[in-house]
Amino acid sequence: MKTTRFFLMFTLLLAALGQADASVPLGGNRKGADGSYDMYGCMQSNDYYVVNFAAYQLGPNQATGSKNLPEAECVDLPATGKTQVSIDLLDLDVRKKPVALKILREDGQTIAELPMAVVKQGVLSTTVDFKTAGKYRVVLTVDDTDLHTQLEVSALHIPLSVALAAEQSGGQNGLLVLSVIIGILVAAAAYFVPRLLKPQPLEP
Amino acid sequence: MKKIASKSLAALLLSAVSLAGHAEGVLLKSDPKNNAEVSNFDGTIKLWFNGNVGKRSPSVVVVDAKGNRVDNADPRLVLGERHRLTATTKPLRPGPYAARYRVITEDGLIVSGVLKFSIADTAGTAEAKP
Repeated sequence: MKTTRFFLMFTLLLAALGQADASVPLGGNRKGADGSYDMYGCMQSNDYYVVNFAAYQLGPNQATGSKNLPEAECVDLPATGKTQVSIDLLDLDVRKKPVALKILREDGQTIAELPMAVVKQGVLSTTVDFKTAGKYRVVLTVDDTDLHTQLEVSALHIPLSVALAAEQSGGQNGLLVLSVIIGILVAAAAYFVPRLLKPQPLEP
Repeated sequence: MKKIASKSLAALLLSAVSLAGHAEGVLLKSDPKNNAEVSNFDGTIKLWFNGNVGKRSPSVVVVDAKGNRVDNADPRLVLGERHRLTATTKPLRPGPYAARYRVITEDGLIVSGVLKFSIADTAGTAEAKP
């Protein structure tokens, strides 16, 4: 009898702890937009909606939907190629409303799209192949039956940069080389100029 | 011995429940109230929350029946014993309105929802009365 009571209490305890965990939607440390890690991770919002964004860049031999997903990236993706884009709907009421997702190139051409549908689980996920480095945009639209706002007005736009960080760091390397060259020139000038300007002793 | 273990488990259970309750931000009340018909709206939406609400990304958007935004995009969150989120609106005509609100707790919990209210047509009512 006492064993049964223990078992019951233990189960209740686990249920309570599970409930507490379930109430935290952002879940654990994730990489943010500035590259730092905190519980907010890659939270993206506008005045209307808030989501958590994640992009998983798949290796060339990694199948889509693989259980061993790589680390979640935020809005600065390190490389081109196949990428699984995932959006957690953090507003609970939005999980009961039709939502649609588009991924657009900088020129406005759609490269991936999820049609308007209710996502009860709260996670929108699609795979996209970023063929070239550049700027892209993820657009989440919500058919908000409470607000009746035009879709494009309340749409959440998430800007993405793909494989641009490497180019930027290349640019930074170039700047570093230039700085070193200028430094050497300044040092050389500091050494030679006083010697050139030094009055030469007159020959007898 | 088993009695002590049983009491400890009960205490743990209670503290887990109480911690979960503390961590979650909850909308305590609002002015206007949800689904209220208001005759003397002062031009400010007010929402009160408890829990460990943080300063990050508070928001209030108010729209009319056609979905046009009628707030002044000035959400203000004052943290205190009861955290207060406010936003002012443009002068509102009689009719239905909806306000979408959001605060985020220090634990990363999103507290958001929609508040519906309507502004009563007091002039119309007054005229209707003999």
